[in-house]
Amino acid sequence: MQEKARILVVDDEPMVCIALTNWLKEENYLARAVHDGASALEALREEKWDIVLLDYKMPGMDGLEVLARMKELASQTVIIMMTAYASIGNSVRAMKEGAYDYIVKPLDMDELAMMLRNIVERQELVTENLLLRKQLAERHVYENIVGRSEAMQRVFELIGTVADTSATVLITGETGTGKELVARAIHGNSSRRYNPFIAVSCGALPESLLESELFGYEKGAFTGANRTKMGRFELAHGGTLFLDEIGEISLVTQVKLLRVLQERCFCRLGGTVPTEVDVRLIAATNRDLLREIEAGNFRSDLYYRLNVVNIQLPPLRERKEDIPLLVECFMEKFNVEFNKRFDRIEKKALEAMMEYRWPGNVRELENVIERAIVIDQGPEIKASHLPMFRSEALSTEEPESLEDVEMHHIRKMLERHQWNVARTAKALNIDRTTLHKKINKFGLERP
Amino acid sequence: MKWGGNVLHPTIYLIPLGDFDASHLTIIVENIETQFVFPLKIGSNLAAPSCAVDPVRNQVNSNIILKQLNEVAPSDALKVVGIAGFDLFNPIFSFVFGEAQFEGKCAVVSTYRLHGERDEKKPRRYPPVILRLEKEVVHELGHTFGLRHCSDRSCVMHFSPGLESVDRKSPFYCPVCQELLCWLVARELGRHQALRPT
Repeated sequence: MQEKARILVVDDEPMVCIALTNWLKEENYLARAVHDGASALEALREEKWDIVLLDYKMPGMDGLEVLARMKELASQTVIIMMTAYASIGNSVRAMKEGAYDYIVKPLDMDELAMMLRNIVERQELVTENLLLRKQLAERHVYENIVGRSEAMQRVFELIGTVADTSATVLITGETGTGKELVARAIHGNSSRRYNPFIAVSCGALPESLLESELFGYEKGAFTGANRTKMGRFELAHGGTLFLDEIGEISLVTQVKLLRVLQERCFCRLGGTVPTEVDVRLIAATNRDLLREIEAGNFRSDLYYRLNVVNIQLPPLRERKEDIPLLVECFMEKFNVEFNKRFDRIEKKALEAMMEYRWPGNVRELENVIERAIVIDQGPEIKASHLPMFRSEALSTEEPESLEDVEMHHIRKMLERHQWNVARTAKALNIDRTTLHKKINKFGLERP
Repeated sequence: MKWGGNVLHPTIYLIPLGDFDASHLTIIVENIETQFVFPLKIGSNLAAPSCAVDPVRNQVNSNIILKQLNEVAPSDALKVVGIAGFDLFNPIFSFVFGEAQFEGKCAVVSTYRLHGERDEKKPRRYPPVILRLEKEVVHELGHTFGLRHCSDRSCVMHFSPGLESVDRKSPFYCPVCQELLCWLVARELGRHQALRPT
């Protein structure tokens, strides 16, 4: 049975301690007794106590002195003074020092029982209040997505509305804004949550591989297909399939995807038997798909199929008020991961963060905090830990040759795309092989 | 039931203290026996040690009585309850109806305050002291097995700081306490068996 509260009895008379702790146990309290002030303070340092029954007159440190020190150590603990000497003066002093109440020995069992019951009820109310406040505060954290800004609150609302429907969702937003987290939150809040969530990064796979990944293949479909393989669509049956970087897929694959969306069935590569699937599709892209449609790179019919519900994630620079909260969350996360004790950020560092444009968005911020926590012991994140200060310092040294400019630009772009070679090559408008050659030539290494 | 090879039953003893009239106890023995699976015996009267008496308070220290009961407990005693007619106190409370060693062997109950205010002009109050005594004995026995106070006002384990609450509750355990008691008794018997010499 769960004890009602934890009570520490402090009295120099062992018989009193035995009698009182025995009765407290009968009353369903967890009780422990100590015989002097020093042990009481030690007990308070070691464990959390809800209530302390403290004798007024003790040899050495008297009750009032212990009371004052206890209040410094554990201000939430309720302290009741016990004394054999009923004196108004003593009680007033004790109450001034922060005692909850005063009780005269020998104690009236009914009075003490009532007093303890009142305290427990009051503490339950306080705890409930704190819990409610916490729940309210936690509305700034939806699943693993953090944000108290208006834009993010709208996103949370939309996730809640759309989650338990089967509508296809298109999540748009710059790289690093947390598109996959939103997809996971939708899945996690839907009736499909006990079924698989399968994520496919379309941009990371070459076209031929992407098709076989999505639809699977039959044995002998192509050279090397020595067994039948289920595709991601089949694996996600009953659950959610998340197609990240949907803007990267070829027109051929777009047609196949459109067919699945229309007919809810597909054939494995090399197969003829259609397979029916019950999959909720969520797609995401950092591209402007309407512009891609205009340029002829994306099918408009697929776009309208995917864009039943659109969730637009704001870039971090447009919700800078979330930066302190995000910093706090990442600090907590990496403290646990690296066993550190960071608990604050230098004013100058936070100002720099608020000024910075965050091209890599939340993911970049996360990396910055991770790096700051890895390289120092804390407890404060300092401006000197932040890479934006370092790049400022570097910028004073202007590169001299064209080759230097090229190297700096490639490094900058790689960092912006978190060293994703495919995306960086695309942004630089060169192919991946060329980018690899240049990385080797300049000896660039991932930090 | 066999205990370590001996055909001995763990027994609950009621020990009258001082000049308490043991014949009063025969009335409650049967009722208490029905609540526990153990036989109940009434022991011979035991005088309270003089050191237990506080002349200033004119009361007897229940803690010292408990120690004494522990020392004189018969070898087959699972629990021992001392029954006194004198007023009991413990070092922290102004008076107690009774006191038990929580999860221990002994308990003590006094009828002194169970009589309530006596008014000779009024007819004898109901319920009789003996019913209140039965409730207190069952209550303290519950504590010796490890039962705590119960929030059910009609359960015998409900905390009773005054006669009103003693009269309000029944002499029986509520279903929850009864269930807990079964488990606690089984645990206690296991311990008892392990401690017995074979």
